[in-house]
Amino acid sequence: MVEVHDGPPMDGFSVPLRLHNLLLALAGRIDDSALTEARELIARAHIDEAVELTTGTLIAGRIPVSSAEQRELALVLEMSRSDATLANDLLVDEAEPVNTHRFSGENSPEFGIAEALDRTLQVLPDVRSVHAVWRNTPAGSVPGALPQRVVLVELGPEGNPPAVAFRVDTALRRAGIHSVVEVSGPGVAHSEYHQAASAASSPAWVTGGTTPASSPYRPEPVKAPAPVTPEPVAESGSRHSMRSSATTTAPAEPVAPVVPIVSPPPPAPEPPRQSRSERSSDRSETRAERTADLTPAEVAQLRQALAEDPEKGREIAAGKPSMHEVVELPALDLDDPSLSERDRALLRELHAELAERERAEAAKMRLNGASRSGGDQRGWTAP
Amino acid sequence: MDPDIEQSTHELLLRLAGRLPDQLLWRFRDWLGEGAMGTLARTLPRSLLKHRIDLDQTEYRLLVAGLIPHGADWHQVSSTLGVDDVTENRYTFTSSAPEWVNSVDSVSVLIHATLRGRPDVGEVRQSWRHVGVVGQGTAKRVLLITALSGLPRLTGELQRVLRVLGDEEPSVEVIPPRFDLPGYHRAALADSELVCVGAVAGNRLVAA
Repeated sequence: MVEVHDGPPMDGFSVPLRLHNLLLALAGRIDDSALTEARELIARAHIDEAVELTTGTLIAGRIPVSSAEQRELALVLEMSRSDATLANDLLVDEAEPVNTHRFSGENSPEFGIAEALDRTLQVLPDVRSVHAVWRNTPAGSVPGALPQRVVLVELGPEGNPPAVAFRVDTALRRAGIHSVVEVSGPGVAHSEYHQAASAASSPAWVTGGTTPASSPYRPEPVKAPAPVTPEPVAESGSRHSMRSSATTTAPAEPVAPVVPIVSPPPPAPEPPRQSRSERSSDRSETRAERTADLTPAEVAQLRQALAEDPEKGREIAAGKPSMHEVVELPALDLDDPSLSERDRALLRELHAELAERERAEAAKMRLNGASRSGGDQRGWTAP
Repeated sequence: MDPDIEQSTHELLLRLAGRLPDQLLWRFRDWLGEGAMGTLARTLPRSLLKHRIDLDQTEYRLLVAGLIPHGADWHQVSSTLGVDDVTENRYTFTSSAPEWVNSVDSVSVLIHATLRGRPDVGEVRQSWRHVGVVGQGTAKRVLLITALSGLPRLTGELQRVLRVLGDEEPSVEVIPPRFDLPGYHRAALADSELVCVGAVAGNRLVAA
């Protein structure tokens, strides 16, 4: 849990920032609508309404808070000229809230975000990185549809978290990307919720500046990907070209796509992807063809992994990257003749495994296709 | 909770449909369903004032009866009583689902499965609300239900179901018997379709 009010740490923060940090600590504990609305109210200088919404949601949902959080809410209520006695109705429980949320980086949660935020990221100062992840578990007492896309934005000292949260959310909504936006500035500890979300997240945009490109939430340092641009690269014909090119993630296990249960996010502007026919022809390729189809990026990734960590290299070769870990591609030269025979053997093994999985997935999709062809689930939901 | 107080606040929130922004209205109704009267008392009067929503005398009496006992600020409550006539309904309604709703309307099917034959529930209907010209902009589902008891809780329950199904700001109008329907609800009922009927026969929303 983020410590919100225990002595000096929060004292230097303005009232809007105090409430913003409180909302960061409450992420995953109250519903995403309340978080998003409260952040918009903060950005619009309606602090009283924001803190009343937050407190009321906690009270009505009987969501426990720590006594430090209760004090902080009472303080913000008072400082925003709301009724501070509202905080007396909060359910106080000192037990550390356990993060029970599950996150997934599969099915490209970052898809379309860089494009949707192009203008926003040019205008807003000191945005360091944007990551995205799917949350597969409900939040709060009145949860919304799942999966929920969580967008994690990291700011430098020049950025204003409440303003960025609101502007990023607005830009994403305008592009039809439904999400909840978590913006962290420097000097605020990351909750377990944010750490878990970030560990499974994929980068959507990272600055090419002086700051590390990898997410600061990550529990252990991970090799930073090369600075990426929002622009998609041209198709390479590889299976990796089906993913957003802005990312440099490892070949995730080719499981069935995460199909939103009821309300899939509205269609986002998509960078060039393989057409259906191209993909189906991909699946019909032989193993040898697929191995020959190895992209330079894949070679680079495997080579780098082998060089840095033979164990990880074997995991990749076996198609089993560590759970939730995003293996990041270094930007290396491609057709490096320095690959050893052992590397080549591992590569062959990798592609044999991938081809096998592709075939299994294609068979599974053929089986499921009949039941899924019934219609567009998106159309079943209310606006 | 005093049933009269609960009933007063429920009727007031019913009358605010189409006037208070949806994102506030469903939240206040959720809080009422959870019995968070103290929270409502401290927040609803201020919201009405901030959104410049005047109450007529009947609504004002409901506000006083429902929230003053729970600590609402008397000055704020007093300021909500308007003098001019309440603005008439500004929405149009259609009974047929918009094109984007699949031929299998799973929300409607789920409501049917939940409420058909349910005790204390009468007729369940739905309508589609439009701002301005029908066919332009998005349509919003409005559920219209008659019930004899437990109205705030039923509202909260259905709101939660609709939210999980993707409607972030659900419009669920659970109407008590012998309720003088505001223009918003009359217009919605006039262009609505039957979803199902609960256990209470004869509690019709629309004349046969």
